Amino acid sequence: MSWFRKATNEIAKERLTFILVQDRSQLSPTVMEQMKEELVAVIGRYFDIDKAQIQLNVERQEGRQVIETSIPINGLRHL
Amino acid sequence: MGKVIVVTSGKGGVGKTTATANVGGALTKLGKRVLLVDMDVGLRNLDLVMGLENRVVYTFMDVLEGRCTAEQAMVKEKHAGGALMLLAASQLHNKQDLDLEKVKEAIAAMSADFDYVFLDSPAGIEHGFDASSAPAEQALVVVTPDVTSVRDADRVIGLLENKGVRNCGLIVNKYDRTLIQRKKQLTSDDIVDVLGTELMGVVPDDKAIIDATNRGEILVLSQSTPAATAYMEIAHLLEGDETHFSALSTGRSLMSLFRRQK
Repeated sequence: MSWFRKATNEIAKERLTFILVQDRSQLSPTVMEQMKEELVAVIGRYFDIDKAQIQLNVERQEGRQVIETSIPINGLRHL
Repeated sequence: MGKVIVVTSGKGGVGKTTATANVGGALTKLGKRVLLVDMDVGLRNLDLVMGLENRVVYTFMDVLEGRCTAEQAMVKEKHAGGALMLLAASQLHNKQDLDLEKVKEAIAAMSADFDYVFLDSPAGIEHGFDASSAPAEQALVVVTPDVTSVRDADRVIGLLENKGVRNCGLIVNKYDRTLIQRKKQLTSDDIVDVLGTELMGVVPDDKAIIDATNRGEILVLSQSTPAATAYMEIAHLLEGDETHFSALSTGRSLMSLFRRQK
């Protein structure tokens, strides 16, 4: 039933995309996780954020490394 | 002053040396004067690929250490009408012996007599790679459509950027249209997408390359097979002739036509 299986070139691309994010960040997954926690702590003081949906990616844009974060906000915290 | 371009890849065996010889050869067919420098000290091979192994007397190391002049060390390729020169690497030294400042100085001085100087980098990201990229203003990163090569290329592109070489172009080598059709190989689009680097050419997997290397001939200077055509397109692109870029995508549209017919 090989036609049900994903084409190996797609698997290759997925694996590459994943590993390159880690390679580029030059930070171990543990450190990335720690950084995420700290961001949550700071931003969470001002906004009610959706912790489960936070994304943190290191990408290359126009010849430099860029950290892209996406932090969904549920609402403002009343300070 | 000619353009100084490093040809590199990170991973070994992807075709850096063959690409160096063929891109250089292709540029001579466009009337350019080209110098190819083998930077793989201790493991030189560009002389063999160009069929000049019996004519090397002095090496780049001899130039750097003042035992001869650059002109004395350069070997003329036979089929390019004197426009293509080789500067071989020493087999008697190792990569650590390359003094970065001296290399930069020597390459800058030699580039005055050429339109292009290509530095054929050794595999790896150690000193030999540093010495090859230090004098370069531009890079050609050779990659084959497999995960290991693409990952290493990504690392190399990052390192080049850190060194200030921001003009990086990709050469996707050993491209197998049959495997692509069967979805068993990364496409050039996938690779460009993942690496975020400009595509300079796609060189098909072409048995004629093996024959040419066996004979010690540069493919673009002896035949016009698909790989030779791809190298000519790269030369046109380096010369800023964008019209040849369309030829790159022709392969893809032909491919999709083929798929639809099935």
